[in-house]
Amino acid sequence: MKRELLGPLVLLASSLALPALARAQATSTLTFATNADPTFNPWSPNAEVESDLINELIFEGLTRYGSNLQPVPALATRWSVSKNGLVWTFHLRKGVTWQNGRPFTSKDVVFTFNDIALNKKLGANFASDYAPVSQVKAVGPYEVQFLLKTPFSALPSYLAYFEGILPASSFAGVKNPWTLSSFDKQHPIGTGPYQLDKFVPGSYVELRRNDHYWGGKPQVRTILFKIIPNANTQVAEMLSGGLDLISLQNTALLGPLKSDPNLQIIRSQENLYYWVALNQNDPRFRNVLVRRALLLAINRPAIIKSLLGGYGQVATGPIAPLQKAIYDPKVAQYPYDPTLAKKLLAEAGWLPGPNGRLEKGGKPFTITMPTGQFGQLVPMSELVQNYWKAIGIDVQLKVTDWNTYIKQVVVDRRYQATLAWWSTPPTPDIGPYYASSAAVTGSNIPNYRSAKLDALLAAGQDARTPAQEKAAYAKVQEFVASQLPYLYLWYPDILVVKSKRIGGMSDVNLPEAFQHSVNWTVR
Amino acid sequence: MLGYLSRRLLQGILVMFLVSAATFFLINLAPGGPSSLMNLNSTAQQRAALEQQLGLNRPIFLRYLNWLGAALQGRLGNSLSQGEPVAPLLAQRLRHTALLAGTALLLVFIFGVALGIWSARKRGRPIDHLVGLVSTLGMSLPEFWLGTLLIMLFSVRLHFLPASGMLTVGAPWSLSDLLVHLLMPALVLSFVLLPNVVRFARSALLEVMEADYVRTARSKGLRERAVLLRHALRNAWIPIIAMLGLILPQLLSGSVVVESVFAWPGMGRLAVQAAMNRDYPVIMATTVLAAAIVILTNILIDLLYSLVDPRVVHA
Amino acid sequence: MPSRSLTQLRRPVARVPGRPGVLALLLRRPAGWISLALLVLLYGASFLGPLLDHHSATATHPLHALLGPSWLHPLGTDDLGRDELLRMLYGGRVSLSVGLISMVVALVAGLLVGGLAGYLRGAVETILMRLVDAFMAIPAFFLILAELAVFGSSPPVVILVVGLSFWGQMARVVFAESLKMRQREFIEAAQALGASRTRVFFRHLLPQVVPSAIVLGTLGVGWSILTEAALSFLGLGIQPPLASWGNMLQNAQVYVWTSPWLAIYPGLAIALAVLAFNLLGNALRDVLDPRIR
Repeated sequence: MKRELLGPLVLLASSLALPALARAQATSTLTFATNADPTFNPWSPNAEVESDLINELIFEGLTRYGSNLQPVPALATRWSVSKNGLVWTFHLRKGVTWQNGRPFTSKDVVFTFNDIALNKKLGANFASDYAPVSQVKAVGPYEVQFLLKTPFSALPSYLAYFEGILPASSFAGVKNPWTLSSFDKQHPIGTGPYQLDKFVPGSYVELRRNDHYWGGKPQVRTILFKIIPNANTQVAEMLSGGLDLISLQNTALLGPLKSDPNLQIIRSQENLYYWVALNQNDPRFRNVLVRRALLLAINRPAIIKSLLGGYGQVATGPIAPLQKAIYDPKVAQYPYDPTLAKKLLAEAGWLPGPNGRLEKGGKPFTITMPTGQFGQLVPMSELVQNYWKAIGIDVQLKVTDWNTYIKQVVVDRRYQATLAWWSTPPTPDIGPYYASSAAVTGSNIPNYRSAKLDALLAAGQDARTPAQEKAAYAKVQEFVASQLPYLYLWYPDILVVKSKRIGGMSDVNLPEAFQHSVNWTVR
Repeated sequence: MLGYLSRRLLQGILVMFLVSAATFFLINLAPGGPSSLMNLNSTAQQRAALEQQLGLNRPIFLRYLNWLGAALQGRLGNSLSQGEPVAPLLAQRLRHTALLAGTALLLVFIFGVALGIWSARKRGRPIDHLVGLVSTLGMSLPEFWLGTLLIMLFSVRLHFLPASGMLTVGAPWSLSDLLVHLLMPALVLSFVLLPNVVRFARSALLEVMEADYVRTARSKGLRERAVLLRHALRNAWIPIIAMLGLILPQLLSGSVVVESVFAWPGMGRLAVQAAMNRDYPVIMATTVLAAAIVILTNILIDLLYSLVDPRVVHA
Repeated sequence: MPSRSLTQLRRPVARVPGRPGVLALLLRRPAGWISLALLVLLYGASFLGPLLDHHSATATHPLHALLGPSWLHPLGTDDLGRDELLRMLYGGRVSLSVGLISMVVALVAGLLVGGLAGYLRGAVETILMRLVDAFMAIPAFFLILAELAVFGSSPPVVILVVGLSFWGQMARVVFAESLKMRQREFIEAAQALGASRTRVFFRHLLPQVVPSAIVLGTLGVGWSILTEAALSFLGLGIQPPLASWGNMLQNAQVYVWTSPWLAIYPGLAIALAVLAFNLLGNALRDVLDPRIR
């Protein structure tokens, strides 16, 4: 998922050309940057990573993340679930006003979910996360109920994941909310601590603080986002003295920043893991021995050490260590062992031919591996290709632009193996990426189908207590580690470099930090 | 003259039509689709809904006719990845590109023509060879490499110039601010174009210097400077103007790369993003606009020819 | 309408017996022999160099990534631990071939279209030259972006697309030359003697315009090497694991801070190769068209 790049976000405190003015602003302004023109509507399919953090400042969800990434109150003050697990009730915060002065009520919540998120004709962002929700009902002006088809213990966590509430009145009579540029390009209205002042496409976004914010007046007066697509240019701007915070896509960019005494480097965590998917429509990969062998053949610590500059750890499954309460490291491990890999492949019938290449029934073992140009996917895939070559498999790497790659791998599922990543909300619910119902048409990229896993996932969603949840997802983690629906590669650190000028910003990760921008200060 | 003009315009319109049809079918046949659909975590259901909304499930031929009809009425549609009308987006980006390209062009003409004349007057001497070598070198450097090196030197090492953008964000508009941002991208862009202009100016001047009327002027005992200014240069202008028509497409192409390196919010960057995101209406608009600029400039130049040099007659 | 082209060429001087050949003339000028020597070196090293080393240019060694120069790796290693020198040589094969072959494509297309339009005139000229106008009206880059998006970035496609983006310019030069040639006595004489139009075109007209086209083509090789590099910079050129100087440069972008040599070598190689072709083109023009020096 695209949310890995959360970081092309840069803080630029002052201008170079006008130092006097810049110094005057320094106490009241932070200038960020993003990599493309944003869309100020978190649900819009046009809003991607370039918009996410900006939208977190303008809009708010019913919940947000606490310092341990558990959902804590935001626009909802408390919530509870019915005994059968099929009705969630949320009590809304009173006295909250939209940035245009109108009051925030349950009408807005009902609109945001029923008319936007759950409206099948719109294809909104995150729509697939809400598959278990049938509808949202208002119970008076300050209470709403989520009516579910199946239990959904992860609901409060999903609600904190970039899923801001929209003002119903701004969309009254609007047929297609995605072309309402008067809202999502010019005058977005949220309840958050910052509101849009000016947006110059291709250039910058200027936010000013919301003086009527329910959580108190933010201390930083103005936040600017500069639109800088090129990662090197972002680093250059940072080094040339202007930037205060940058999230790095590649650890190689850390080199010049490390020695700057005004900067600090934070290894933040997200629920992000890289994987190799082996297409289960291909009978060769339905054999678990083959999947295990292919993972054993990859020297993951070596890749982490080189391409990630050591910033990351070997992945054991889809639930990352930052979910401390749930993460279970005591599952099947696959340390680098090409000899064992060859042995497992031999058990599966793949034996070395005369030229050392593996073959079965006279057919050589070849794998077609499409790769898209995005971040470090290409060099990562090249390394995997070489590790597999080393055990006698012929791997054809096909590199294309990102758009073509998505069409081929996600839409058409025309691939045998491919390397990518998932970045998910910090919830153990992995259904959207693993359930049989998500194969072929959904985000179950390897098209893995297992009735047993489906049952384990349903049990997890039906958990009522933290203990039940932990137990249910321990079984899920054990199962996927042993069966390998995806080959798990690594959990990368998200490197955030920030100026020591910024105060009050938490170091968990940027999505969480941006939900608490009201606490930021400039030293 | 009028007949010639209208014929050229008519041909230009035909060419534009060809360009638009070719581009439309090309980009719609390209694998992938608008980035809102081509998303790692989009589901089949989301994609189907968006395809329906964007009308992408209709036959391609019909969609082209729709586009053409709307474009002829001046409606360029909405950007698929921005949701905004294309025309104002393009107008704004075009202004920025015009500023960058115009500055580069100005630099290139001042320095290019001066160097060319200098070089022509010192023909065969070391200076001539040096100018030739340096300008050939300029033509040989990849502009994105040059740009990266300049950023590393002037922004990172020397803290002398801003690394990117067009204006300092948050500062009030000022000319000096604009100029410091303009300097590096305009220099890179002009450095790449310089060799053509130098060589062209040089050979144009040499050619007229050998013409009979220049020899006559010289033999009348006119000083070299007078010969150069009064006779030679006046006639050398024609091919130099012609040069403009030739380097314009280069200039537009060059700005694509330079804008990407320096994050200049212009049309070139818009075009690259549109191509990556399969933003069909924006690709169509930028391509057709670029074509129109090139065609119109060429017609204008031919007209200028006849003004500068009355011997050129268009029938 | 005046014809315009990047290199406004006049008819080359026909070869007179007893006068030195083009190559000999070229070797007499510094620009000529320097550029030829440089090209022999670049092509020779790229195509013969890798034969001396039995290592694979694609085998990766992540634990030996980004090493500085040493005896084992004279230019250091890249981000995947591959020998940079070997990658440079293999990359040279690709970049130099893309440059040369795509220019042959442009040359053939330009000679045929421009030559036919200039020789036959009439409706053929109108149709062909308007087609050229249409091609020339789209700035090359925009066209290439669209084409590569459709057909993908395999080497043959990149070669074809880069070549076809230059053929318009070539066609215009050839067209202008042919217009002049067809008026000349020897063509008229050949026609009067009853030679077929095909014969006149291929045997008499084309050989006269080829030298101008070759000069433009030589300059064009440099242009197409640069174009491939720029396409790779935007991620649309030759794709890894196949190395090209362009994609090596793009790959080096994130390492400019820590391992700048990764960006400097391929950048230099591109600049040298393009410089050599430009110098050669200029020298060729001087030799073939000695009136202007």
